[in-house]
Amino acid sequence: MTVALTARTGSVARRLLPSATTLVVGCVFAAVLAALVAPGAAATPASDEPPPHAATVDEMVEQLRADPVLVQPSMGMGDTRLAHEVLSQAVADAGVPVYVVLAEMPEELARMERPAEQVAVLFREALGDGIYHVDFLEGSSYTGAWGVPDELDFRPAYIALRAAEQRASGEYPRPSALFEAVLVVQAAVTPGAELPSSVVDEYASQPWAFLPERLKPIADARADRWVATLIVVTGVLVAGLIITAGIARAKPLARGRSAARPPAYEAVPDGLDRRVHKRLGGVRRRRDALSGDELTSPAGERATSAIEAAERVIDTGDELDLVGADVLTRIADREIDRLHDPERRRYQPCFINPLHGEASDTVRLDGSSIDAPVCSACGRRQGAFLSTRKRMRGWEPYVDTSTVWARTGYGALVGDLTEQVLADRSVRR
Amino acid sequence: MRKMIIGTVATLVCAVLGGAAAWGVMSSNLPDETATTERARTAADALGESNVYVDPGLDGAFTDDELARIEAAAASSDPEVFVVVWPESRQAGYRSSSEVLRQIGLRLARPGVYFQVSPGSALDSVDVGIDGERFSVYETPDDEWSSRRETTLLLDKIEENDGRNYTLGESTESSDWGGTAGVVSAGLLLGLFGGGLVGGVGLAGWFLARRRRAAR
Ligand SMILES: [Zn+2]
Repeated sequence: MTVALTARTGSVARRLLPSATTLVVGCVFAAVLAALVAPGAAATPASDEPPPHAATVDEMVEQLRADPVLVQPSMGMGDTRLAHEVLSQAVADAGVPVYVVLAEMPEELARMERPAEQVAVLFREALGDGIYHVDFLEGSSYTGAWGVPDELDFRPAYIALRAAEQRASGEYPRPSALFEAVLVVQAAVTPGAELPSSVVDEYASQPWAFLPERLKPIADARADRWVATLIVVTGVLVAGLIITAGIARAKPLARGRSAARPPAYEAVPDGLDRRVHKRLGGVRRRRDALSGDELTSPAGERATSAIEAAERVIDTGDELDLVGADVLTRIADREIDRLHDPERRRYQPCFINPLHGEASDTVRLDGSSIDAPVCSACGRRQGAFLSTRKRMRGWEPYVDTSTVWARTGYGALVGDLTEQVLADRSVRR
Repeated sequence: MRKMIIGTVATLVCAVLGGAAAWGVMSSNLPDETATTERARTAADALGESNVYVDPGLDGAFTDDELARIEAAAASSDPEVFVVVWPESRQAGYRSSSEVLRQIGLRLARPGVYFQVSPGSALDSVDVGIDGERFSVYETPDDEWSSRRETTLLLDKIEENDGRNYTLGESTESSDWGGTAGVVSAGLLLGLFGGGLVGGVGLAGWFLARRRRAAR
């Protein structure tokens, strides 16, 4: 076996072994050694120790005999053991012998034309039929196939390689020799068929599939980080301060317009207390002047109830109650009017501020889906809600308080303000 | 006055958050300095014993005498010199010779100048762990490579390196911004202009929006 090999690669051997004697001795010695070593090496192809560097074609043949995959560190994409494992797995699936050599070119081939092709022929002579994929560090790859099915075709591997290259990220993605070799072996595993894209994508996503991109030197990357951070910090500071200063110093818009703008709240005016008492006195007198029939009529009874409700809330000292007393007094007044003029509407105040007077319009409130009765002024332009001053929270619109007034809108939202006020106050007292 | 305080506080908070975000984003762009390729590991381990490492593939590229002279010059040079002799490769998991030389230097953790010698390729070097006068050898190969000529060139470069001023530590010199002063002034200047532009546009936008709101 060894003798036959030496004879075929004669020129090489002659250079290596100077004399015939050493040739014979060397051959016997190598045969014994190969017989001793080969079975063990074949049983454990993935030993922990990487094989010694194969610098000649003969050394490569010897290594290929023990292990059909030969990857040297200069072709291993940073991890020869992993590359070897990936290729070995792929080779194991093939139905025919497949040999892969990713190595530095033996010096003896340096002056040859197409060294990868030449050496594939030499390998085949030494190791027999099969598929030989050879890629040298310097030079292009070659795949030779001897004694294999006719439909075997390596074009799918290169089609898949180009497709993966186009899908890859980066500026100029270049597939590694290892990636190419893996795809060629895959093409041998599935002769005559396209490579399954799931397999190709799986390989293409590995860190060794493409030659790495140029990294920015660490000092440049660190400087860039500082520059970017400084730009953002100073930029935000400058922009923020410009905007802040601009807004803080901005003059209010034209005086006339801002005066026309309604305030955010309407307070209960001073002196209301006196006016409500006066009005209540007046309506009481009107009620007392009614005849017995009038008093027992529905309108007369409603007037009496409204006066009673007004009396309960007029002196509580609460501003909103005082406004309620005012509204109730007006309701009573209107009911007495209705004794003589039944066509008149019952009294309903402006929902926005009952002190505006009677509602004569309805308006869709801002940010709401209810149409509320409002006075004619609020119908043209919605004013601010009647509000009450809270010690901590500033001004609060009455509709946001938890009072009977908020629930009823001072009678703008309900028809039975009197009853609700009486019920509310009888519970409390 | 209140607007001024609120605006200033909000600006400060935004500046801190923005700065942190920029720092974080740019940190993910830093090359991973912990990754070491197989070749770099092998070379670094060998350089622990001797200042010259010759890859088994180039056994015999230099004579023993040449190697001994290089070794002696490299070991006695200040800053120290480490030489890797191997065939240059793009298929070994790194992009450029300076990348792998830096990997070797970081793994060996000895400050000095790391040379790559590859027959037929350029002689290259990087400083690792030292910050000194700019020293860079990048000699394109002659047509006819010979170990004798390469040895002479290498010994010349080692002699040139010997005795140059340096301090321990990494250089902060950046090819885009220069040194620390360049980085700071570039950052401040660009930030000032950019921020001024954004601030002006933002303020104009605020005035426009206010006028439109008032007109409604
Ligand atoms: Zn109104």
